[in-house]
Amino acid sequence: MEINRKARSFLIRGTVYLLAVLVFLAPLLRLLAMGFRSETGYGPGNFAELLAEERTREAIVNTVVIALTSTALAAAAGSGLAFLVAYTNVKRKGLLEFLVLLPFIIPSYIITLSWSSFLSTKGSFNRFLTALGLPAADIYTMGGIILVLGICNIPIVYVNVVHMLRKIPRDMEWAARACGYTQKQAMVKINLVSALPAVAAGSVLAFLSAIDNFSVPAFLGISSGIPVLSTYIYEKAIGFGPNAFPLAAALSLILSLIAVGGTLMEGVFVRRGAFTDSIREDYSVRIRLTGGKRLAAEWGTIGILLVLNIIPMISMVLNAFLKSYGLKLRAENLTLENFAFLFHNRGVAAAVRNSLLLAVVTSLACIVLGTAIAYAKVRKNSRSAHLLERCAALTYAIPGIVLALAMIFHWTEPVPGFRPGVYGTISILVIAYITRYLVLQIKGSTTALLTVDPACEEAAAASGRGIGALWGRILLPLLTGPILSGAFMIFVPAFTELTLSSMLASAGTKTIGLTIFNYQQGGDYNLAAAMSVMITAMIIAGYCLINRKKLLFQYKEEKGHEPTYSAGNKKLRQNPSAQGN
Amino acid sequence: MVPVEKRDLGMVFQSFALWPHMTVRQHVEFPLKSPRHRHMTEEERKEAADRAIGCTGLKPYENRLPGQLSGGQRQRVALARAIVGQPSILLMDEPLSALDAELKLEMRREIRNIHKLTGATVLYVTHDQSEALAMADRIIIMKDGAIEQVGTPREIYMDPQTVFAATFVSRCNLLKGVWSNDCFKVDHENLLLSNPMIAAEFRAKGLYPVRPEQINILPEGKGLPAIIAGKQYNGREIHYSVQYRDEIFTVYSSFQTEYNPGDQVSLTLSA
Repeated sequence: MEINRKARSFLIRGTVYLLAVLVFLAPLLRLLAMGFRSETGYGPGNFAELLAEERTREAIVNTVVIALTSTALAAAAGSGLAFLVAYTNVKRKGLLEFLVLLPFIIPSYIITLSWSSFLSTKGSFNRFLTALGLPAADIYTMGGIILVLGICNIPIVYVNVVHMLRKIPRDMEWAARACGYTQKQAMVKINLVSALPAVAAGSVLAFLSAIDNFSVPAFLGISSGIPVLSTYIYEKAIGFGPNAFPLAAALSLILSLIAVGGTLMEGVFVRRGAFTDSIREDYSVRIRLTGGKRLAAEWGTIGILLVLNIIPMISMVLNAFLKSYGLKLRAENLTLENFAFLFHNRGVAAAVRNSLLLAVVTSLACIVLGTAIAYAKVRKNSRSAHLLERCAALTYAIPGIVLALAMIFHWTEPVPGFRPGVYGTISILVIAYITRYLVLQIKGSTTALLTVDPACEEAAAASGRGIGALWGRILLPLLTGPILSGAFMIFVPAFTELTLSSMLASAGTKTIGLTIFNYQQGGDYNLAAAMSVMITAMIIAGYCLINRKKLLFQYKEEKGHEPTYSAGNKKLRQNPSAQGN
Repeated sequence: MVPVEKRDLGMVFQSFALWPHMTVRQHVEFPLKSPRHRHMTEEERKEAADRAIGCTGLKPYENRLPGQLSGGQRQRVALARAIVGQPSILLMDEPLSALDAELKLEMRREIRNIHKLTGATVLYVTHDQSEALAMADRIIIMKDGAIEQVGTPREIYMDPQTVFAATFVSRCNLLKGVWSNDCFKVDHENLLLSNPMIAAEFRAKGLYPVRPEQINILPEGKGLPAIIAGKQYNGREIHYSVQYRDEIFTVYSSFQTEYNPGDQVSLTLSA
């Protein structure tokens, strides 16, 4: 009996370690090896060849410049908005927060499309500018990429900072004021300094997300000849030269190096001394703006957010109803043909089916695997589960385009002599999505499990019930809600995914993201817009369906209690980084 | 209203409110760099900070962060920060409530020493009666936002003016009876007490306050018949709860004779 149990636990642990290595580590090692392989053998030749090219150097510089400036933009705007929502007495915080967090659930290529239709050369805004004698705004530039990436990354900084600001005890401000400092000085010397680590952490995540992002530079940079590393890797990999894959792998290693550099930057900004996590969030108003100022701050911010998030969206919706791109908005130019085309097109229907299937399968697999790993980690303190989480975190942290490449190298022949033939089928997408998103569910399920007292389980055992009753009657009823809300953050990005599918999908396994990308690249802007409108409507409808209770109830701000508006948006913050598009 | 930063005050918070990113020395220097102290020279500032750090015994820890200090040391940083600017009034909001019993006694002494050194008025909020009695020159007892009594610790303890002050501070037992002039007749007993000092509120309510140490317990004889209901051994004395009719009295008694719950005893009063 004893020997049996030992053998079994050894077998289980062995399988888990093997899985960790085979699924999560091996692809990355393959990529590393591939980066150093050339026709003559292994060596740094690929790097020398790449760095000799003007275009590579340009791509590296562009990547760093775009990532840094868009991060600065996101950090400034995200921190400012967090300050406004956390400390001041502006009203409509629910609406404000919804607008701020909107880029979290709308994929970045749709945001890009909305901006490019808002700032199109013949669009109303540019006509207005030229009428005033100003130069027209062009979104297909470095500035455009920076602007859109910055907007997409505002929520990442925001969620990091807003919690930290609320956690800073009010006593500490009061102590500074009792020492003879004004409220403004106290805010700068105490609150700002205390919140700096959170600003830094959020900025690093925004930086990683900017480096990772494929769709924004792909939509805005490819046609206008602005290379960044993620799109350059894509171009190299689909170029099918004799040396295409090794060069793409070498580029991926350079990109990963920049990502590591970004993470190391955090240490420079974060000063010694930190808060304990146990401090409760304080929702009371700290800065009371007087009537006029409050209204100005409130409506000014809502206005800016509307311009950033909603007006481009409206412009995209209008474009979706136009007969052809660039026509004036007149009754005779409006049509439903774009939508009719989409509904009758087999490719579109297949793409929606594929994406839905991928999202459902990925979410379900992640729920089962992630919860099992989280359970082993939290309750059994299993070393192998910890290791698995680390590995899964690694495949989430590296840029998506890099992971896609690694998936190709690895899964054509995972172990020598074994060719499962998944490349080119939908299976490779399922594997890639699970590899990428599993860590989110492990984290989500861990948070959910930590809220259940182990004594609840012991009580079930003490009542003489077995493991079936434990899960069926105790754990599942308690965990379903939080686990599902964690899975929502996998379902949405998987449903709208573009980066991985751009490399891994084949003719029959196109996804929604890839279809929109192809329309956009092919110049069918109205179709791309119409499809984006459809997808956005589906996402928003899903979001409202899930949060219907929270959206129906008006939030009340009671002192010390968490207002419902932020409880409703909480799931958006569990994973404060929007990678995958 | 004068904003907080324009008032010449120092404050010690219940939670200490130390800043996690500043060292002990930076905490103490912080008030000196505020606009309130702009007239000070650099040397004066250094001297003032050194003095505050010295008199709170923080010299060995001046480069540490709050996270690296014990509870008592954090308390002293909060104190040093409050006194360094020599404010004319020091506010202390339950400064010792977060500390354990041993540290409390030590910090009481330190706060009294600092008070002596600086000469500043200290406004000290506490709901620990013994802390108030031990530290204050003057106590203000407040209940539901209204003042009950103002006086020296001795006045408050020996001569409470209200029922709340009597029961809260000196844990008085209240005998029921009838007042006529300065004489009190205890209900159901043939016992007359005379005391011209008892305050009007007791007279109006037909009560007579008796502090726990004013009651003697005798095995039998003349006095109020009672039963020992509970007993707490406290070291120097024993605290009994004694049932007299339908009330429970608290009695502090020395060791001369020990009683056990259930014993029939007789209570007498001393001055």
